[in-house]
Amino acid sequence: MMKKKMWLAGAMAASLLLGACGDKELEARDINPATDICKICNMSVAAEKYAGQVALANGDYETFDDIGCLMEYYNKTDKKDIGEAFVKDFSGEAWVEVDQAIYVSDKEISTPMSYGVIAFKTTDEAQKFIDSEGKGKIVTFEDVKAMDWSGHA
Amino acid sequence: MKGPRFLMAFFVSLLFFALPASADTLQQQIDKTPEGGTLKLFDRDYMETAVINKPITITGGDETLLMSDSDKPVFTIKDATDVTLKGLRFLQSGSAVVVKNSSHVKLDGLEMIQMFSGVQVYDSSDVTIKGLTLKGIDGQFASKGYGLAVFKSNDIELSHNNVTSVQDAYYLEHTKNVTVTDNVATDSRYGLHFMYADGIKAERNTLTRNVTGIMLMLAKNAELRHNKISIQWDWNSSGFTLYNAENIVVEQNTFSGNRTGILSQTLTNAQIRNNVFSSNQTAIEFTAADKNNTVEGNDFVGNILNIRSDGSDSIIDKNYYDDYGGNDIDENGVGDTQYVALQSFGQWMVREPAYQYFIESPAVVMLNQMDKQTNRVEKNQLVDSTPMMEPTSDFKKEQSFHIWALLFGVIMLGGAIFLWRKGVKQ
Repeated sequence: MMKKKMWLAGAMAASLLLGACGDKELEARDINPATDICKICNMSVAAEKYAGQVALANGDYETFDDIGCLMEYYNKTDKKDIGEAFVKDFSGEAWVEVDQAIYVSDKEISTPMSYGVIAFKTTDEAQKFIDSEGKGKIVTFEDVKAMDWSGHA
Repeated sequence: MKGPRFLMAFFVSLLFFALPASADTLQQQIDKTPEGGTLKLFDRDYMETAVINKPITITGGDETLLMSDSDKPVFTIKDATDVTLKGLRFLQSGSAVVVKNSSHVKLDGLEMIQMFSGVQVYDSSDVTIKGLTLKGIDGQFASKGYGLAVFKSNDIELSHNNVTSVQDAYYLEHTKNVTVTDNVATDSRYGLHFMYADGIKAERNTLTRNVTGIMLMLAKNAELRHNKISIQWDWNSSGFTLYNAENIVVEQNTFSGNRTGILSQTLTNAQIRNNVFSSNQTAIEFTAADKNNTVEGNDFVGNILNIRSDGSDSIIDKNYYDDYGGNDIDENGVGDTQYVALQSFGQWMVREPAYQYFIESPAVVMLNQMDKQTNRVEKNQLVDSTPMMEPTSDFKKEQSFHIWALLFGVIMLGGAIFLWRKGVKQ
């Protein structure tokens, strides 16, 4: 009887361990403006509404102060190493996966690195921003990836 | 019947004429002042906003205090030339002055207390801001605004200003021909923050306890001279961060007590010469993408790491290093053997900043000793083939002898020995 219980306990422990080894869902983490800096340009991530972050497959996180910096990193990093990439919704608190976000681009939109691209959760919110500010146009993630993100003096 | 009506009208009109001029709003006072005239504000509190769009000089009295009653700035100078604001005091407002599309604007001796931000200049030219003091609001820098911010403007002069407790003390974006001299910036995120700037002269500024002293990003043709950069000591701090910059002269500055004196990334054609780096965790950090940079005639004193790099090909020449162990047999002032700043641990720390917490651990000390032996044959990386035997600056003369601290130490030591001896005898 004792031996049977031990086998059962062992099997449960093993199943728990194996369960922990499975793919975990990668989520965005909170930004700390006092300590988080942009992986590309070294600026602190002080204004979250322009920020981005990458949850790497190895569990590490990289943060970015501007969508331009995020895309520079995204484009040159092996996609196998990127678990998930997120941008902050400009009009809210939510993190949105980069390929799900709706982007608004205009060189007159002020962002920390002056790249002029911001992200929204929905097309309605993006359009509302364009209507109220009188500037910007909606672009896709593919458009954003293809932009020139190399900063120049 | 006509009599009483006349009398009433007379007394009512008298009442209006008798209203003191000090009851005029700020805007009314500005509107009443002729073009090119001088308006002296009354010794009272103004809680309002106003727009200036003509040549005018506005000054204040000893008791004049200006506050905004909305999220608008107290003064908006728009489409104007030859505007001077002098000796005014602002309190607890979102912003004091915004300058838009104007030229020949002077802000002289303004005082700002508990402000979210101070002055913003857009699309303007020939703007001088001097003698301004600004204290921001309490809290984390992410919740604050910029002290003095200039956007898309040219021929800007900022001098003798003192800004504290804001996000960036002096922020300049897309500017041309900017002179920033004799300013102070403390307890902010960045002291001076230049972005997309061309033609910068920053001299004799004192930048202390910020996250970064000077943040120079995507900029070219800058001269950074005689600045005092100290105690930028946070996790991600540096005296200067030079990012994606070219044609930069960094000369005769003093870097002391910073986490990193100069942090560079994609830096091209920079000349770092005749500076003093003392008591920094790392004096200079290069990255592989840096090109054609020269480090010459600097003094490295009391730093944990003098120069570290992950593979840049900078020219390092004629510097003084206090940890140089070579001799000068021919007494020409230059060491007979090369100095190699290369340290394995330093290289690793560039890639993984968290390793800084292991500095001076026994394993790292041993690793550094091993490096010293292997560095004897290093030919390329971080090699100074002409190390100086004496400091090139007057750094030594600046060291003061603290006699009272020494005396106090001796007395305390004597007292401790006396008490210890007394305890042993008992």
